[in-house]
Amino acid sequence: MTRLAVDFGARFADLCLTGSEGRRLAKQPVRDDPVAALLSGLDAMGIPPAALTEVRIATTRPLNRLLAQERGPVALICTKGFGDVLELARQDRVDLYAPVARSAAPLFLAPREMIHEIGGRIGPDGAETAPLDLAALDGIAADLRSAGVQAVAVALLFAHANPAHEQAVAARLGELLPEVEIILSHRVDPAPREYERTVGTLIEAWLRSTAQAELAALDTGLRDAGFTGTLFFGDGRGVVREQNDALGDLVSVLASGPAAAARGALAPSEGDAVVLDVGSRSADLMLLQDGAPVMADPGQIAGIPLRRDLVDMASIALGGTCRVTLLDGRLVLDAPDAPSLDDLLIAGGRLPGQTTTPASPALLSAVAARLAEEAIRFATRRNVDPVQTGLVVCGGTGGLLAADIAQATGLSRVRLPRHPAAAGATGLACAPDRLEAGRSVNGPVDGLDVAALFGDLATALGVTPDLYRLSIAPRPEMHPMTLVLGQPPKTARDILTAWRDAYAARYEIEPPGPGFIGRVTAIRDQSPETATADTTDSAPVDGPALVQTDAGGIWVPEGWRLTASATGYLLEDRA
Amino acid sequence: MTPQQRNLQLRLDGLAQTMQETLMRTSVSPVVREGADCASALFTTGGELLAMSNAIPLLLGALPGIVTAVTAAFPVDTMAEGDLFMTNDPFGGGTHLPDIALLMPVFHEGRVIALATSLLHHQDIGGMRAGSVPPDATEIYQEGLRLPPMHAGTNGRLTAATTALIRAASRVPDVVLGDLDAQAAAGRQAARGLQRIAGEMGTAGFLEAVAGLLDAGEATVVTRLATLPATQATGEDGLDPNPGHGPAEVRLSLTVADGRLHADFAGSSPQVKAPINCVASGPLSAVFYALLTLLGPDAPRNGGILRRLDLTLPQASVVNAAPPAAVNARTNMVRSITSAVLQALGKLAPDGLPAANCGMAYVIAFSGRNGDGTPFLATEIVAGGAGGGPDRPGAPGISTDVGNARNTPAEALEAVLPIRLARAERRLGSGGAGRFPGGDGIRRVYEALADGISVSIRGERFARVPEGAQGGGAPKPAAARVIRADDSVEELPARSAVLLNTGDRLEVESAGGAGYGAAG
Repeated sequence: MTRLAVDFGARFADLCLTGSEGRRLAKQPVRDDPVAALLSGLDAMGIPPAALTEVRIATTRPLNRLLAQERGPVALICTKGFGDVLELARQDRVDLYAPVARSAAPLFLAPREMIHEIGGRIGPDGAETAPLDLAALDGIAADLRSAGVQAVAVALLFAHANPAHEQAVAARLGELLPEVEIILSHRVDPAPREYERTVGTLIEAWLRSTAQAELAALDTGLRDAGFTGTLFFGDGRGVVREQNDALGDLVSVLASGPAAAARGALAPSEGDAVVLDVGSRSADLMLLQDGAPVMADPGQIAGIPLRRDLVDMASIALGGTCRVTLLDGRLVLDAPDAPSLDDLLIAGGRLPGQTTTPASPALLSAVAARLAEEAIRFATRRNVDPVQTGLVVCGGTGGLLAADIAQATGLSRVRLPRHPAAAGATGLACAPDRLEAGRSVNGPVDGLDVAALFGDLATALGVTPDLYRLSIAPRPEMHPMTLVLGQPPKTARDILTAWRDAYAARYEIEPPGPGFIGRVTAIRDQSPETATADTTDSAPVDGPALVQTDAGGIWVPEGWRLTASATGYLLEDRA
Repeated sequence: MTPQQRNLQLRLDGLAQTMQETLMRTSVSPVVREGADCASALFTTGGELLAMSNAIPLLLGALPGIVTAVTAAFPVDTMAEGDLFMTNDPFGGGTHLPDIALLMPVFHEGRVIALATSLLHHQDIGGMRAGSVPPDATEIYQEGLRLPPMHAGTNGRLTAATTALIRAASRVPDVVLGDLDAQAAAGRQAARGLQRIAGEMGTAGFLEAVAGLLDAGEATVVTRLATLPATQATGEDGLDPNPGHGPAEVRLSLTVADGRLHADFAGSSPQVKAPINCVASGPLSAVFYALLTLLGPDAPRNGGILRRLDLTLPQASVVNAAPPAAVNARTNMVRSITSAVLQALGKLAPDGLPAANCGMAYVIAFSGRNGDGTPFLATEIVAGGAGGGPDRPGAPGISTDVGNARNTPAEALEAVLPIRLARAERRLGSGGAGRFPGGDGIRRVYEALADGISVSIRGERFARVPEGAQGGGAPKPAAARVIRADDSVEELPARSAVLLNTGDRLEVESAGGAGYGAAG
């Protein structure tokens, strides 16, 4: 078994090769061609693609584009009278005390002229209350064609209760625009609340138009170069899935980079830690507790609601390429004509290279302080004090600022992976391979044919599941919670008992309803063989010093010391 | 603040937000789980605000008065672990009768270390109309059951007596009791978190640190006020003409002196025999909100700030009503007060302020009985537009200043009401013109799918809208109408009670925000 894990960032790909000879790391510039970067990286490692049995891909590139709010050739078809569903969002504002009210609506996903309404209604019970105006699609399709749309999100009211109208739209639109991707809301997020479901569907459509070609090209490029093994993609839950499962569900790939980094930070975390992964374009925050990444329920990415199982994370558009300056003592990001953070790191002797930018310790301190502030806000919002829990910093830029961030957080110690820039790749290499099969039930728990449902799931999975996730709300219109079961229940009563216990454990009250089950998923995780951790002894380094690792540098400021732990990670301590 | 103080304040803020999310995740009524018509906060054992959630400022500002009222009736040193206290008395710190506060003392190592409090809009607490927000009320007695501070629960659960009281008073007791359970759950979430922090710091260390946070909050406001001119600024606003009831005008004089902010509402109109009066919590919410906007994002948002705030409120006025005034439709009076406060504050610190927002929100309650005789009842809140400027157009259809309610999705509304939401859209052209136009209001059209649906509508700005800023234009006023099944149209006043039958449509249009700068 020779496994390659590749973590694509904005500018570099980190490669982690695992096989009988242990683990090897490499770094390769990406520019605009991930396939070329991947093949060049393999070439540099002396590994022909045909020698690989498995390739795993994670990427932060789509997430970076999302943070930059890049527009895609995407359109939305929604129910008549609801064309402003995206703009009106949920009516609340982002910053309660900012004088100028600002909505969280991700308008870049579909400008208003790309949103089309169609007549026809489904009611809350799934019954049709007005017939679908299929004829209107002819005109809509003409508009979409002339606008060069590549992906269409279809999010009709109550599609989760009855998808017939969405399916009819897809069938007709498929005839009219066979080259266009059509994404249906009931498949992406079969749950009530039209704004949240519309946003999830639009993100999938946006990814189909902005990221799918790049991901699919990796497969083609590898196969053309002789690779015959299995291709996996990282997933926002910190696992990997086979190519076909992942590419049909790109939302799951969106957070694959941070989720892989969270897994890569597990060793230095010693179980619990706040993880800050600072890359070229963005910084991502995650939380590790009891030896695993904490999951969000419900999830969100970059402030956008995403009702998916995801690593609980926050992203900030602050990385090595971000242009930064100080204005009246405050840090300003994306300032035109300002030096990039990389320029400042070069000027400060922390990064090899040349720059005309003068050194500015004050500006670097301000950047570190901002990152620390974000880490503190992220952790404290979850009732975790980062001073008590500790901080793991990783990422190519993170290693160069780790001690500064720790100091601004109020810490005298920060932990780093042995190869900080490759945390995503090493995490990806040891992520479990997930098989899953799901079914939407949308009915009361009581009376559920449990044997049939769970038997069907096991059959669909093809192996014995080791985990079941059930989305259950007290009543259909209420918010669900996820119930995790290790064994298949025998009766509906078993499900109800377990759900009531879980609800009481979380909220300390009885659930205010009899129980309504949404989606049920059967899961089987297969953990790969992992290479032995690198515990090579190394002498302590006192700052100021720049320490180069196989993947990324670590800046040790004056008054700080870098040491290796016995279990294979690095510690920076203030004297 | 020291880094340690900042971390502690942020953790406490996070706990208040956890309470808020617990309310929204576990509540039964759509106005809470969808509309977020609720608020949560933590208080010191001395009754000072310690941390608050990101919630509707109008509700947050009421919590200090409620805690004062509850702890006056039930001193903290008499509280037992697991006790729950409840009140909804507008004249004892509250807002209006549907907003019931639940307070729980948090114990650690055998002593009270904090008070966890939440305020939640309940669907019905009795009175002359379902929903307890009768637009035609003239006295509070018509608005529902008034609860002075009372002992409501032990061991973290409501007592049988409390449960019986709610069952006797409410048209939808199961919904109200479910939402009270959500409040109890929020309190226990806070207790878990606070006990963890106190466990890390030790009880004495925690209490000492908390005192330091309040001092830091006070220092922050003193520093900021010192940058304002030591002068007086005025603001005024008011509600639409209210025939037969006299004017409802707000007059405000804001003074900065000696490190204190003094808001004097002398000259405001006497209270009226209509439910548009607000109680003392309204002006406090408005001024507290405005002060927090002035302090910026890094200020510790705690009761230290309130130490430097003085209010002078004329008795028995529309801004400080006395019993037996009706107060259920007080939201728009608080919005009007806030508009006056922001006007005055803008004269003291004009930088970065946009034009006036819509200054209103609709609160609409639907009720009736299903075919099987079971009651249905749901409330929703519809925002208007934000003011334009100073560097961008105003946002359309967004909750502004002391509001922050969320909308109710069609898929949530139709699941509990025999109503079809036919349209939910921008009311194009309703924002004021300008270089930076005001945000548009919202148009929502509801179609009745059954006979006998009672609707209580409370709106404002049907006649009187704010002026634009720096040459910008005024927005369109709000409007509402019923289009009967036979296509006849009935225009509605700002506060209406209407009955819908099958095929009737109710159309509500909220006001836009004012424009900023002359249109090019």
